[in-house]
Amino acid sequence: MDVPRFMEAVKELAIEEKHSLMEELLDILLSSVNLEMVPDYIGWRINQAYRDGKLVEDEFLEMLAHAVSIAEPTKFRRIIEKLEVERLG
Amino acid sequence: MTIFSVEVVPKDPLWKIDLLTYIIEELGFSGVWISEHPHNRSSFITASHLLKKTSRIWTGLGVINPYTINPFVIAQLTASLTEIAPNRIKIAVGAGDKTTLESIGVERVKPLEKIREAVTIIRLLLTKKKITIDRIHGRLDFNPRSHAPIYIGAQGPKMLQLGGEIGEGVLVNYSNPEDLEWAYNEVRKGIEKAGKRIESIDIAAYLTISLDTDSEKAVKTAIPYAAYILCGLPEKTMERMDVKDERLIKVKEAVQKADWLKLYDIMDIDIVKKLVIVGQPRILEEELREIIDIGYSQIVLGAPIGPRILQTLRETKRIIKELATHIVK
Repeated sequence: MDVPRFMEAVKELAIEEKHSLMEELLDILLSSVNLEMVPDYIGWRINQAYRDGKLVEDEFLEMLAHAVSIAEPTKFRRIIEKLEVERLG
Repeated sequence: MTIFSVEVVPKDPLWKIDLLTYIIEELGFSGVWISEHPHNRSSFITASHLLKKTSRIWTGLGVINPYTINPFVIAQLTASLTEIAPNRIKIAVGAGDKTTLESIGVERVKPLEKIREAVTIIRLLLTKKKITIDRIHGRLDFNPRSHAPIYIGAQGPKMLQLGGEIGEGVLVNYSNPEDLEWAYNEVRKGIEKAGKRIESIDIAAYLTISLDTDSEKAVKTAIPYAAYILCGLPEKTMERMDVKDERLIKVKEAVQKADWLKLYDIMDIDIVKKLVIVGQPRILEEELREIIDIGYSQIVLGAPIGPRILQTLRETKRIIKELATHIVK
């Protein structure tokens, strides 16, 4: 359920904000020690989207969020909470 | 002239290693060293993938262990990689960690002789020569497409000297400048014994680093790596570091059980700092200046790098650029 919440929270972000959020999520993912839990096909799609400069697009950002929610659920929830506070504030 | 490379550890899925290497190449580093460990993915198979996906950087395999992979096969695999990416392969050979070898049923006998023999066999085969050494004989039935420099991975004094004597490079597995200076002088003894010039060898400081703007997080990330290094250190190095047997036994038990919480309790922060460059990114700049001044021609930024790997790699690249007035890249 966290990924739809995340997508709701990011939908009105400016492209620069989405870009820095994408970088933050990617850093969390690539630094995780739990990557065996992330299905390979998701990993490869994230990989290709980054190379193509498309990881910031909603379709791939959602995929990245999904991967982070699997590998680092606590960190992912913290990011959503921060986004929601910023949106409401 | 000092070059900079980064270690990638194929414990992680290939999609991550592939993406990380792409970013490392984009950032302008010279190469990646793929670590080899029997519990992880094969470094040779990982290299064959990465070499197809990169265009500029070289790939080093290290440290390859001739107790677990027959030297004839090491030469065959290395020669095969030169066909995928000529002039972009380096290999490092070393005797490995006794405890790990024993855990997979391999006895580490006469490491100096083993490495000397392995390097002789690999070098002869890679130069298309037929070998006849004891019961080993034959040649490769295909031509390596380029030269692949052979490095020696070393920590103890005799292996460091052997590296200087027979290696085209040496991977020196220490992180603090004091140990690195001592190790450099040991390598130099071997170089002098062989009558070579010091500039003819690439002496690489294979650093273990964990950097972050939050020092506490950096230390936490460093502790399992420091513990693992501590367990494999040569006795003489332990004596120099004043590591007590009692503490070592406890650390070994925790490492064997992968009990990281216990390690956080029992690892002495001063020992961690001797084994890992740990703290805020700015400390790396001071350390690098000292290491380059000692004479190291290559700096390998080794795992874990930091709790946020991308941020640390980008920050490290910025530090290296700032050092550009100090070094010639």
